[in-house]
Amino acid sequence: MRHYVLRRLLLLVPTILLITFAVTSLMRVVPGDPATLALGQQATEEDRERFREKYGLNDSLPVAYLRWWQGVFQGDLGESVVQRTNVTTELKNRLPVTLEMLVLAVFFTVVFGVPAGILAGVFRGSLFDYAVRFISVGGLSIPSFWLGTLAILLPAIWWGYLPPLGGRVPLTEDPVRNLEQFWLPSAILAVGASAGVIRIARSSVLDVSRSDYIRTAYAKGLGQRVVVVRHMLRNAMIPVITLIGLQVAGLFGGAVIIEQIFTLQGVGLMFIGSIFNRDYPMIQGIVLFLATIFLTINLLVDVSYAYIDPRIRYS
Amino acid sequence: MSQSYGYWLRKSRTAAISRRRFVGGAAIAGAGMATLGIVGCGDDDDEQSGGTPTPGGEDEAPQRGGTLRTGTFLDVLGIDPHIEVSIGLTTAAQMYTYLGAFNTRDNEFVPLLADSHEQASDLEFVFTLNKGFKHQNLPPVNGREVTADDVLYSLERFRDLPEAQNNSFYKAIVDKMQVIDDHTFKVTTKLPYAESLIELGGIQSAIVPHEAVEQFGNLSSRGVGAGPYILENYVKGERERLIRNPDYFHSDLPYLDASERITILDMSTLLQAYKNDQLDLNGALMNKLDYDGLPSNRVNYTLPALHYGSLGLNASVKPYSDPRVRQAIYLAVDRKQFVDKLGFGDGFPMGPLSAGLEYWALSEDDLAPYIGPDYNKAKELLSAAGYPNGFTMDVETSGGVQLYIDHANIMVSELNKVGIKAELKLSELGDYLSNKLFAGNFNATVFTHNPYETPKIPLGMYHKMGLGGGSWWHYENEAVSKKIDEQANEMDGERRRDLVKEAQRLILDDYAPMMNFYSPMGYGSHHPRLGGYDPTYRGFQLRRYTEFIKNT
Repeated sequence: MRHYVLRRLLLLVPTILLITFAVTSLMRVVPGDPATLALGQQATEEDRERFREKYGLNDSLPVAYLRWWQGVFQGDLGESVVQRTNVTTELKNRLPVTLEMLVLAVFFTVVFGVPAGILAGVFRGSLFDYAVRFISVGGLSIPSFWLGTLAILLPAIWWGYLPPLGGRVPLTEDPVRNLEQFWLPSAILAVGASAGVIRIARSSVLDVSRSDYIRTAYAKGLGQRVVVVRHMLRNAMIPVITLIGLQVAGLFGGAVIIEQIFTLQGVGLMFIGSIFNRDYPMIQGIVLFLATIFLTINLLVDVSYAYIDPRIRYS
Repeated sequence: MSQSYGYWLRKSRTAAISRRRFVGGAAIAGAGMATLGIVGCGDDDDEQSGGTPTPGGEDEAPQRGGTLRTGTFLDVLGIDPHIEVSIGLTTAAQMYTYLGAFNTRDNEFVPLLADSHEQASDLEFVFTLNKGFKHQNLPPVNGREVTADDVLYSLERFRDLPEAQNNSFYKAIVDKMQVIDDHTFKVTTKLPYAESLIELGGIQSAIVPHEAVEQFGNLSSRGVGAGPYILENYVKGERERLIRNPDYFHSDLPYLDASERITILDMSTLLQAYKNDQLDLNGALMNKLDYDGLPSNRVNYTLPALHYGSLGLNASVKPYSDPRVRQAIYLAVDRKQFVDKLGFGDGFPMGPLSAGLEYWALSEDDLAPYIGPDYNKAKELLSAAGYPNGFTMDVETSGGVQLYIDHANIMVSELNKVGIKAELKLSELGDYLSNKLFAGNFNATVFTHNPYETPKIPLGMYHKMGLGGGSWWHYENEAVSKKIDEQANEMDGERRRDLVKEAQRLILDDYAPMMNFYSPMGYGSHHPRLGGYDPTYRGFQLRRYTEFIKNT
């Protein structure tokens, strides 16, 4: 196992190199000039050229890419073309926002999605099963931006309540106010993800429940609780965990909209703005962080298989 | 056509506003102004509906103390006055001082740092600075006096920063900037330039101390100035708080103890926060429906907005090089459709300048002959130009801006009525702006403008040199360009106005290849407890520093 993890960690390096290079090259292929977008309609070609010179936009792709990595090794991700700050500083400020929202969203997804899906599978055909299926279909169908808008506007209209707006309060500074800011956007983000988890967990439980070893467990007189917890759950969890791992990336996509609705200045919102403005250093910085995070999650998911199902061995 | 024109007359008569107070003003990104509620319009007569409080509270005695709470839907990128062009400038305007601020409503230069200014000739502007005008008593300036050296340093910084926008005046028009002595500063222009004082008193021409730039690296997130407010707290894109500068030179100002602003990116949430009394001034962009839904116990007001949408045509290619085709397009588009569908019935006819620039814009009578619809005449013109069955028009625009699409869709359906088969070609916004619109790389395009408070930019767009980098429409009408130059160089206000109107007539007579659809209405609102706030000043209100909170 140790060798496997080590090998996977080593594989992260070329993967990240490939991803960042692909993003860097593709962004430069995409039509649109950062200098024109930054300087607006009154700029002359001379103005744009000065701007390009200052931000190294005239460098060839290999030079720009290597120079960027040189900075990365020194902890400097470069100067943003748009944000008036250093990319490292900006990410330091914004990553915690997105990460906290994603962690909470995954928490809600697991806490609501997994038990609901398992119980629906175990009690197939019951009223609970129908209710859960109805809710999960609803959760998959309702767009998070619509739900988010309603969730923020309806309490405001009915009771004059708006969640704390105007900036993030760090968890360490005021946990209650921080959670007051984050629980609602995270929960909304988790609705769709939970719905997906419910459906997979339910079908996985149904699948496993038809296995020989489950039939054997019942035949040797084990109670339902023991069968479900000891035999069914562990085996049914592998596709669920795979899905949760994959959903982190999907949740990031949803976070872009939710950050806008709840005015949470996270990475998602900035990512979109950076793409529009062709803010290459910022895009590269965000991609570097996201790729590292997602690849690490992917690795953790793979490693977790071995702990959940002892039959799986990595060599 | 006359029927349509009658419609315009009716609309303008029933609109609950007076536009005669508006003359235009210094350039600031309109969205930023909108955030401060300055899209609205006050009233100076009895046209407003009964019972509605009047904006401004100008007749009330100002009261000291209180905190003004505002909100914005715009992402505040930074607060450097020489770099920002949007909402960040509104913060800078409170922190820094200026030689003066140009009041475009009343066409006057209001001195701030300057005690007076003298115009020795059309080319020379000499400013005598107030003695004892000090920077805020904070490091690294610690209350040092503001001198002419600070003015020179600041204006040169604005001119030379690679990130700075809208600084063409300092680069192309200004010949020399000189420190005569500690309290005298002289600017010499290369040629007479009508908007010199507007530029010198513009919101980006802030006076910043060199020590702050040297210590902070840039002024995007920190700053010390000599303005009436001190930046107490700034969290980029989230919130900021400014407190009164107790040592401000004009000691009676400001009245407020503090001014706070939060960012709420979602427009409907921002509007709701205002309605819930969490903000004193509405910062959301409203349409008529939003406006009608405002609480009646607020000061609600309307005025012609300064932004608008346009169709741009490439005058160097057929069929748009033929003025008859352009005239047919002008006449085929029923502007009432835009007013009804986009403005929910509110809006004004528009020539080259928006209705909000009333001092400069042509009257509705002047505009009448150029405004459609007159489908028969349009078809006749198309036949005469060799297109009896119309033609296919590829309209470039961006799917990234809903307002572009909304304007374009209406225009497409209008042109179809005379046989012009217009089809939208959508591009991503960054691609559209840099490779199509700004590059003049299209046959036809639909887009919207930022608000302009003076004729400089909206007229400049018809010049053969465009805004400096060439005409986006490849339009080279010497008479039009000459007239635009003449008005830009005319120092006499009244005479300039005549020239601006003559330029507009020339533009319309040639059915120039940028056709503006309509001038929308702007809507504003603030709480009655806010006094000293007069939205009729538009951008100048930012530097009046007269807001106060009434003790009720």
